[in-house]
Amino acid sequence: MSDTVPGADRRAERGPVLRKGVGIPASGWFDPRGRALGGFAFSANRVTGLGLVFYLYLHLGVLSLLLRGERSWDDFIRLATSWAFLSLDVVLILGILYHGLNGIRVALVGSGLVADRQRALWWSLGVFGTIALVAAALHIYGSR
Amino acid sequence: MTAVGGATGMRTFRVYRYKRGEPGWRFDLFDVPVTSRTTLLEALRWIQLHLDRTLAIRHSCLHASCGTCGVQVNGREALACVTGVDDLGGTITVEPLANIPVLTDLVVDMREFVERFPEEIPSIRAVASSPETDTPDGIDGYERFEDCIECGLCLSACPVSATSDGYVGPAALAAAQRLLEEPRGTDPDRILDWADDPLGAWRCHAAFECTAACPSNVAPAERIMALRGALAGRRGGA
Amino acid sequence: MATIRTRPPGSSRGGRPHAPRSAGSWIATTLSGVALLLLLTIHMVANHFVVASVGGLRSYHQVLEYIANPAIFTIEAIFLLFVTVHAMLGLRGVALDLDPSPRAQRWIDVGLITLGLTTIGYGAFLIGTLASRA
Repeated sequence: MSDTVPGADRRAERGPVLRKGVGIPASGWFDPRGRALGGFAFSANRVTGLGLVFYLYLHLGVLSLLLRGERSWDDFIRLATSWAFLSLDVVLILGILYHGLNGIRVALVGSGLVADRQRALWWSLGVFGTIALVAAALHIYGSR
Repeated sequence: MTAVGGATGMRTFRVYRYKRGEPGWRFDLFDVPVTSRTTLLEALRWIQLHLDRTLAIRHSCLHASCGTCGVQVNGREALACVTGVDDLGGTITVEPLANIPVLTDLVVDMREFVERFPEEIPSIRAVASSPETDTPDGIDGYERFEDCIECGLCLSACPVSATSDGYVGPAALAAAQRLLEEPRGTDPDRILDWADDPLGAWRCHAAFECTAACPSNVAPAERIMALRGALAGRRGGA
Repeated sequence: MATIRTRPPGSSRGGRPHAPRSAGSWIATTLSGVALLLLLTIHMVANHFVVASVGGLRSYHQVLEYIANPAIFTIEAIFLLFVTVHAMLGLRGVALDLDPSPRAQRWIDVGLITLGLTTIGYGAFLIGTLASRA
């Protein structure tokens, strides 16, 4: 009688590991399936953060037009006062408000303060942020 | 075939299958008669008894106190024994827990969950204190009673654990914080030193998915935040 | 209820060595973020909500006049510093979630420090040059 159990040689193998997302480990952050509010909040924080980093360098590039003189800047301003560009400004403010206000929540909660109120904090800061965004959008569109 | 508790409808269960020696994994479909009171575990047992005896599942207590029947159902972590199937939709997808290697079908290798706890601090998981533990007069020893049933749902839900197997995970960190609250002879600095690591408390991104998934009122995310507060305070006072 | 482990000792966390602490990164990110709440608000209000023009945008001469003000210059320079520090720390956090090896992590840190210093350097050159033209 064999002293080897069938398949025993495969027992040491590490089996497959399920991960949320689309195959790339970091994508698990952005997979909305099965996520609660906290997960959505962090995904949005990441997206807005990366967007703002992109905007930082775009902004430095745009400001470099000032080095070329008045004409270059004025040409850009003509473009920047179009409806499409003003809308992008509103999107920028949305990103800043979300990242900033959720950042307040992350700072408070992540330091051990009000961790059990994280959902209430998200909603209340969200209300404030929505009001601020609407006010900013009205001002920006109203200026045209 | 007898349905579970008297049939009131059929549901399709899409169940993850993996057997060592077979190439890859797959999903098998099973039609199961259910009632408004059928639990997921009952449905899986019905599949085992009537349709496919090779389906491997893990369970024990049947009342959410042992933590062995953790699975993902429709992408969310749950204990199968107390999860009703009635409001899970027409097709119910059942998978093993995430971020832990699968042994077979819906059974994961919980050794990799347990190994994330600090072995250098045995009291973090011990049921009873060792004879060498310093106890006050009149106290022979300590026994640990706590909410955590080590089901692994928090580790499965954690998005950081999805990106790194090195992260110790919510269960271990929450256990460390509980020990910090009641050291019972353990040196608190040892606990804080263990947690003060890029793969420890500082890797948590406060997504709170662990708390959302926890079936046992442990609130691991809140405990991790409290641990970080203790670490930041220790650093500030140093 | 928890149970006593029976695994042999000496194999915690897959044998990884104890890594350096990173409380400093968290604290720096938090403090720079708090500073940015004020600095960014000032920056956005000054550049979108003060000048009576479409979108509150400044003309060429208005920009030069704005940045030549010593107080504004100082605030914008500090803002540049804090936003770059916060951005680099944020990118580092995202990079950590790609689970890099220790060696890759060192390269990421070097890369981000370089990028950060370059950003601050170019930004300082930009506002310095514009201030000198006013």
